[in-house]
Amino acid sequence: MDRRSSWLKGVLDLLVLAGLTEGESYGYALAASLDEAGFGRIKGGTLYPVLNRLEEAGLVAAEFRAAEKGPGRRYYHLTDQGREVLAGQGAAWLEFDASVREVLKKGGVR
Amino acid sequence: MSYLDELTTLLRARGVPEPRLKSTIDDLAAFLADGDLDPMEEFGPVAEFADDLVGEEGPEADPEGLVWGADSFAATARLNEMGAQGWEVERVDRFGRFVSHRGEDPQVWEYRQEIAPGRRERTRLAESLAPEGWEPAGHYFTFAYFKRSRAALVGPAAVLDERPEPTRKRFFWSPPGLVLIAVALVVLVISLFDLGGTLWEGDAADRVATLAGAGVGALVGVGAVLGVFWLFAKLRNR
Repeated sequence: MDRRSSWLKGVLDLLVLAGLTEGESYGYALAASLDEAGFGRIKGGTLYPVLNRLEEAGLVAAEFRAAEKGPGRRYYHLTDQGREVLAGQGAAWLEFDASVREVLKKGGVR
Repeated sequence: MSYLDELTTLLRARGVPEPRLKSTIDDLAAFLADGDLDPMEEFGPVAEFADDLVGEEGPEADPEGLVWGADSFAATARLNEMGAQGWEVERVDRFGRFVSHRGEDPQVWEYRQEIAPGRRERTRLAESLAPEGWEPAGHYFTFAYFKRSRAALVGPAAVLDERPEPTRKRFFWSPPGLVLIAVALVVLVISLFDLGGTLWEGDAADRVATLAGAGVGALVGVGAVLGVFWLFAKLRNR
């Protein structure tokens, strides 16, 4: 696994939670918004297990809606517990990020 | 057999209930259709994807979480009681509750509550306690909380053999805490009643003077409480 994939693995659940703060969304739209944000194409094989895990943990809730044309979709929204976890774990990530930056800066990385 | 048909068979064999199975396969088909994607390239080998979807061989199980609270008189004892059951406090939320989790192999945690008005005092305390293995666990108002893994002192013996169910109670009061809250409520009700009476009966000048007096009184009260805590911290640091 390359380094970038490894970083992403550690934070993808938070990115998905953050992607739902403004309202419900579905798998492909979430992958597209992460792509737009600069994380590259997140494959369904990576995204869906994370969505399932978040749903099982009660951090997101899903509602399946049949479509008039073609297959139906599962729409995900953030639960209160999800918001709480996002706030706590997001803050922990920022703290971690700040420490990494500090050390790298001291090491001459610009 | 198509990729999704094969996935359906595998998920059914792994015990996924029919309604859930249908919505999952439909959702994945919609995902593929949205991007005109190849299932094998997108989801990888079908058996592995089926395992990932049902959580087998997947990421670590989410830790058990608990949010609970205690008044400051009861906090230290309760924290240590919960810590002995393997609960690690991640942070203190804005309501002063302890946001805790317990991992798959829980270990014993120890806690202490310290008076620390202000960030500088918290930092100073954290630095002075760090050599003994204490690390910050959060803060609320003038209190700072610190945690220490028992493993730092006794090694693997700190891992718990049992995993006691947490009590259903989510807030713990102590007798002094209850008395303090009751007294504060009585004072608040009397003050509001008195304030309301003056505002109702007095003229405009009375009302302005009363409101200004109430504002100053509230500030002096908060200042006095903070001052006592600050003095306590100063005396302790001497």
